[in-house]
Amino acid sequence: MLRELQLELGRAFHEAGAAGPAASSVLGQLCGLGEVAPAQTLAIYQGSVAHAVEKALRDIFPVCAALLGGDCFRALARESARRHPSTGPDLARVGDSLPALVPLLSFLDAVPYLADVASLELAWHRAWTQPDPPTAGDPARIAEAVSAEPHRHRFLLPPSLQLVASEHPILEIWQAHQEDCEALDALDLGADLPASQLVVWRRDAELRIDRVDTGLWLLLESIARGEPASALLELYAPESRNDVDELLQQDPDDFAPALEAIRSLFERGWIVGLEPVPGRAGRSDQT
Amino acid sequence: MSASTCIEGVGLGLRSQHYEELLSSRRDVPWLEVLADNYAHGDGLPLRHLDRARALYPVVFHGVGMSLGSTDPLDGDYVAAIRRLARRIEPAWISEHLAWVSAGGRHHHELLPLPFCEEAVGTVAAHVREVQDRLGQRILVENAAGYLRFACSRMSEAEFIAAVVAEADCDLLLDVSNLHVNARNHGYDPLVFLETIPGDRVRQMHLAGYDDHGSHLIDAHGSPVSEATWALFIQVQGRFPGVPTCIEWDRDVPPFAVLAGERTRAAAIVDAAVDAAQREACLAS
Repeated sequence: MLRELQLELGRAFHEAGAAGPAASSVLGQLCGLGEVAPAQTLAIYQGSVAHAVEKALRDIFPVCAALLGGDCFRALARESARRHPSTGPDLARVGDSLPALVPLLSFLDAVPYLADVASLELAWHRAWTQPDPPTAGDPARIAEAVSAEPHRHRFLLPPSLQLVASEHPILEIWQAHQEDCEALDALDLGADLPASQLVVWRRDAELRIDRVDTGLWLLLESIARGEPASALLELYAPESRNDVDELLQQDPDDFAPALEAIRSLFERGWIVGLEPVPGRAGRSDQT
Repeated sequence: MSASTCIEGVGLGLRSQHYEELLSSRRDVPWLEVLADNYAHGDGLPLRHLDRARALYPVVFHGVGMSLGSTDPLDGDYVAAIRRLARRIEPAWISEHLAWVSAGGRHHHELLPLPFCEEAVGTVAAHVREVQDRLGQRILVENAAGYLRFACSRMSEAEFIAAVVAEADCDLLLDVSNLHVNARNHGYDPLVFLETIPGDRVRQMHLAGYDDHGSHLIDAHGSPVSEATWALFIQVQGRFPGVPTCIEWDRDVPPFAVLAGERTRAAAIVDAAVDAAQREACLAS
């Protein structure tokens, strides 16, 4: 009996009002609360269940909430809860599917950059709770290992680092909505603002968003995909892209630009170590 | 000395809005209650704040996600996460709500009420025992505010709580504000409630504000403790003097000074109750 009651109540909590099939079914099992009729007591929970998800989403996506306004964001939250019912206890995860949901909702068509702003906010939220990176190894030793066996190693990004790309100026939109920014009214989205290739990450207690150029972006994308270090070297020697072995036989000086870029990533804290590529036996250079 | 003996007087629920005031140095707060759900699922900065809190204060855990009253199986991953966090932080105790949060695999992220019947007693007690086995310690269960009354209920809320505590061999967190809210909404005498629950199992209390909707009260944790709740708290402390108490405030969290003022008022009531109990004991001997 308790099982059926909870399942029916669970459905009723996500309906609107007392006329839905689950609400109608369950009302007969409820008594009033003094002056408050059973349908009203059910409505208390319908409101609080919807509010819990909306508040969690508002905490994760404050800029999206500001861009949309209260009613529109509430509609987005309801649609998110309907299409992606929460299956775990962690409220911080209820926004995971929101960036992918936004382009599917026609009532949001007027805000074409919203999905990408949501991706940026989700990355910011995740960077907050990702673990600290392991202690970084010696860049010189890592560079040596990479130039010796680039097929067998791949770099490690810090756990908090995420890449967010958009054809819209989402960093400017995000910055314009921060508490300490006075530029909100001044931001002209019709102006020729730059597209965004952004790195969201955490250095110690500081959360950061950094814009990167296309060269660095391609490097970071390659590392994020788990590609071996040889793929990074290819990026710096495109004429040898189809023949890595030939590339590796070149003068070590040919690697200098790539190693310099890797050293730069180390110094920024965007490479934190090296690990063997799975399935390729080799030296263990976990650093 | 066991960890729990350092939890005395009136503590505060740790909220991120007060990290700076509470974690920059030790304040005049004897202990903190931590919402374990905010730290159990992640890593990074939240855990750093929690480590800092633990370095400065004794800590107890409070939870909202265990869904003790659900007819679903217990979420083993959730309990394991709480256990890992407890091993790291070493809270004096861990508490959860007499409620359900999920059923059929769907989480509603709200503390949902149970019918007061034998079947619900058995469901909750089985989960509490399982949690206690997995955590290796007795937990506290809290009386939750509820706004539904079920036709199938066969006992009072206090009888339900007493039955769960007896069957699960757990302790109690008595939320005085929830007691006031439920007594008003459901039309029962809170003093009869206090006579019915196993008083020797009350290890902690909660105080918080509620929203008054005229026809009913909603436990909202977004305002000062009401005068009616303060009056009930005096009576409750008179019955269970010195039980450690926590001030909760979750919505529209005010400046720290406001919370500190609430804490001071509660501490005076607890101290007066302890003094009165000691005088009574002296006279009796």
